Amino acid sequence: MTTASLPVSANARATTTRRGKQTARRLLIGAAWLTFALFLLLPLLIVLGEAFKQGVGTFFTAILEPDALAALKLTLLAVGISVPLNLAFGVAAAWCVSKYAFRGKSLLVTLIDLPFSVSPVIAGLIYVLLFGAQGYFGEWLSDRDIQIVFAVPGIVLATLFVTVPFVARELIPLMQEQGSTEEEAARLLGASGWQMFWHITLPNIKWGLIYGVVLCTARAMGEFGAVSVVSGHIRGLTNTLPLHVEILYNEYNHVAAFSVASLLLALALVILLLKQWSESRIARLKTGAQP
Amino acid sequence: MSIEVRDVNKRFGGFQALQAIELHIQSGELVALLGPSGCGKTSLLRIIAGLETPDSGSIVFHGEDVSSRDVRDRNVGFVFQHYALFRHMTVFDNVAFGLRMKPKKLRPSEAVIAAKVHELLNLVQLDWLADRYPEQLSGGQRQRIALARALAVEPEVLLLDEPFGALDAKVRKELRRWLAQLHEDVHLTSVFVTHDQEEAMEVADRIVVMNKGVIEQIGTPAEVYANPASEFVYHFLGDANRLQLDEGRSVLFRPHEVRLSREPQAAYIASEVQDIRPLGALTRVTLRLAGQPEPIEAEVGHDHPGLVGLARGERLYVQPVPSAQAQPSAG
Amino acid sequence: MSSRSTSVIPGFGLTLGYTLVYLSLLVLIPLGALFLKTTELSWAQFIAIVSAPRVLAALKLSFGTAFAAAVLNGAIGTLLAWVLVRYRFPGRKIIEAMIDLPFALPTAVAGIALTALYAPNGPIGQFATQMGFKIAYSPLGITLALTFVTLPFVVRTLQPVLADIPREVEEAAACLGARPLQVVRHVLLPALLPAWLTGFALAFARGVGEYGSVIFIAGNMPMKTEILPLLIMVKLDQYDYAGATAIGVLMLVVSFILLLAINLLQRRIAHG
Repeated sequence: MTTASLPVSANARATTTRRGKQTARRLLIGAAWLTFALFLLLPLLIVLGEAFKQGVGTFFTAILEPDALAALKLTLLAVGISVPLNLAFGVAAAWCVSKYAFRGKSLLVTLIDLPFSVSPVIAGLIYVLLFGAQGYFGEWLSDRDIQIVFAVPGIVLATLFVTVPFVARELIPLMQEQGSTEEEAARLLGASGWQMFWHITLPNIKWGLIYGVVLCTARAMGEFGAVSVVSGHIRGLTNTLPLHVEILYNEYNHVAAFSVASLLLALALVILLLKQWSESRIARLKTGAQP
Repeated sequence: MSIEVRDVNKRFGGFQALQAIELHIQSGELVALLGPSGCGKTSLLRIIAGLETPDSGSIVFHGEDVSSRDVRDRNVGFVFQHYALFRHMTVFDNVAFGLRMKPKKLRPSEAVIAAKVHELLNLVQLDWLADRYPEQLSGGQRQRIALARALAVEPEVLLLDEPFGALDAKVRKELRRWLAQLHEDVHLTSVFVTHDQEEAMEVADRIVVMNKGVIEQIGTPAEVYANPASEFVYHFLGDANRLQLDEGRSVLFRPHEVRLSREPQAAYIASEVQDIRPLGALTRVTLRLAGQPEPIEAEVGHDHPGLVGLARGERLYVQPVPSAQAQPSAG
Repeated sequence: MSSRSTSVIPGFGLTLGYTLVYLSLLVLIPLGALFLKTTELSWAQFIAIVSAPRVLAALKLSFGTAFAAAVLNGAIGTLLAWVLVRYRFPGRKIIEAMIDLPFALPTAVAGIALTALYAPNGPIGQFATQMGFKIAYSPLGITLALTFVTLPFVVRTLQPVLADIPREVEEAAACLGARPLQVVRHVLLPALLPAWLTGFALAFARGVGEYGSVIFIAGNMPMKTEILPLLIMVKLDQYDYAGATAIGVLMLVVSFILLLAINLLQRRIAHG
């Protein structure tokens, strides 16, 4: 049987489509790289560029300066308190939401998400309203000589507020997906509540926990708006690292500002790595492979 | 429109999915590609459709070589195992899609499209679902809509990839019959892929039995069952028992190809009853034959006299009656 | 979904109680204080505060730039999500990881970095200066800063949805005769619309309240480049608690309404 010659149009159309797809692919990837460079890479590079503009020596002077170290300590304190507290909260909230059915559950989830959707300045504002000199508890506090606003406690509170949802938001969908069958099996085999939690639940949610803690830490370290409102901006006392950056910058001490900023940038990159790592472990969990 | 597959080969990485496939499908035929997972039947179907390209060989539609033609220019209707309906469109829009995607010059008016969509929905008896969304339909309904959608652009070839694989057993049987009837009415050249030999036997005009990338046999359902070309085909198309003869030879026979007796008889082999399982119209008896390494399974009518009062451990005499024609040529 | 009320799994009372107490103390009561404080104002006073020209200017600026940034991210985010999900190319993992940089980076650092970039003599700002306009210290600068900060929202919400669309749906469309552009336009983009709107809403909400990354680049000139959160700070510095709370409540209410509207639109689209 002889085959008729292929009509040119159909054959040509197939090749054009293939070529068209390749051109589109190249264009889109190129555009993606361009956007990436412009929006993500450049800011990163400029922080490093400005920080080391006057040499490595100046860089180290800036970050080892007493006020900078004090700011670092305060930042670490705020992180050290808010992350564990919100970790405990996150686990409790996720447990409650994923293992039981009760009325108002979606309302609860929305409430947990509230700090996420509130402007950081408002987050600081509300604590000033409560504990500031003219706040609801202002007189009560000053009578007892307790300083919350414009002091370290206020900073910790503000940081706590903005980081409330992070661990919960990661754990809730993860635990919902995992279900309760393993815990039920453990109970049926005689495990107590805590044994069940420690031996069964925790290993399963391990990577979600790590991921949530990573995000929580990142936010706690970098929080600016809320802390800015409740802090007194007192150098060496009530300044976190981001606030210290602001002070240096406003004094036109750009190199010092960027030096401290690059410290935070380095931490941010570490966080990105940790985030990717724990995310991939969660993905493997979901597809059933061994972490 | 006839389909010719000429010497098609396809590798995926180190895996040879198809080897030297030659196939000729007549116009208006309904052909089944039958085989176990990984035998290459889906790859072959997708190559015919143009969703994959073979490493070598060609596909010819009614005398025209379409091997280098893009999928959208081959005018094939394709039905996927998981329907692939457009979730965000109504049933009506799904079926109308192909007609609306035609270039301006060839596109019919909306009125014509609407008439055609309703005609097709009536053909699959689901016109009343036109305004629903796919998620509101059952599996069987979704598959019929997928079929209507494929038929809307008046393809000359209909390709179905395990079309009933995702459905319940009962729905599967109903749709199988319905598809066979549809084919009687519409008489479109159709190829469908399945791993269910019962489905292939019930629906297809011819069956192409495939295994590990090669075609084992092509023939009508009766042919491949009664005259299998190889042991693989024999085993794949139905249950098989093996009777060891002397000198290393053996013979295959089907579970129903036996005679049973409670009393010893000439040419009957003694056996011990290992299991009795009533299966509705038939009863399956597992027997350990004297001198045979493997137990055999016999299937007889549930009212077979030999079964009365039969219990495990008892003695039964059995005569295998293998069909001589059915012995595959390869040993 | 396998959450059920069961007495087999202990801890309901404990966890629910702890959750509620924690939330109330830390979140609900403080937020309640905000609304309580506002009630100290009469309705007329409230209106007077929020309709002051300076407040209205800040309102328009904050919501306007947040909207523009969300739209810009709607486009960029779709591009990035598309490229990351559908193509394999060298360096893809770097882009994938760096998308979250705006999440991980402190806003103050982003703020000074972007200002340095877009300042009149900065690497990018100088091009604008040559052409006679400025990026930093203008609404454009604010919009670009917000675009950076909210970049991950659209990308991250689109990625899983795009990855989930089965290949077969596109093949079905191709078999039915659709050209590649038609497949994108009629089959893929509509399926992405609900997720896109979610990402857009998240970016918008975040942009309205953003402070740290914007105050450096904004210029902070009242009536021109002063964002709402800064106005709240200013009022607080002046001990104008009433003014600050009024604006805070205004922000919350307007954001809430807008998000509700987007939510409803989303639901409409997801169902139809």
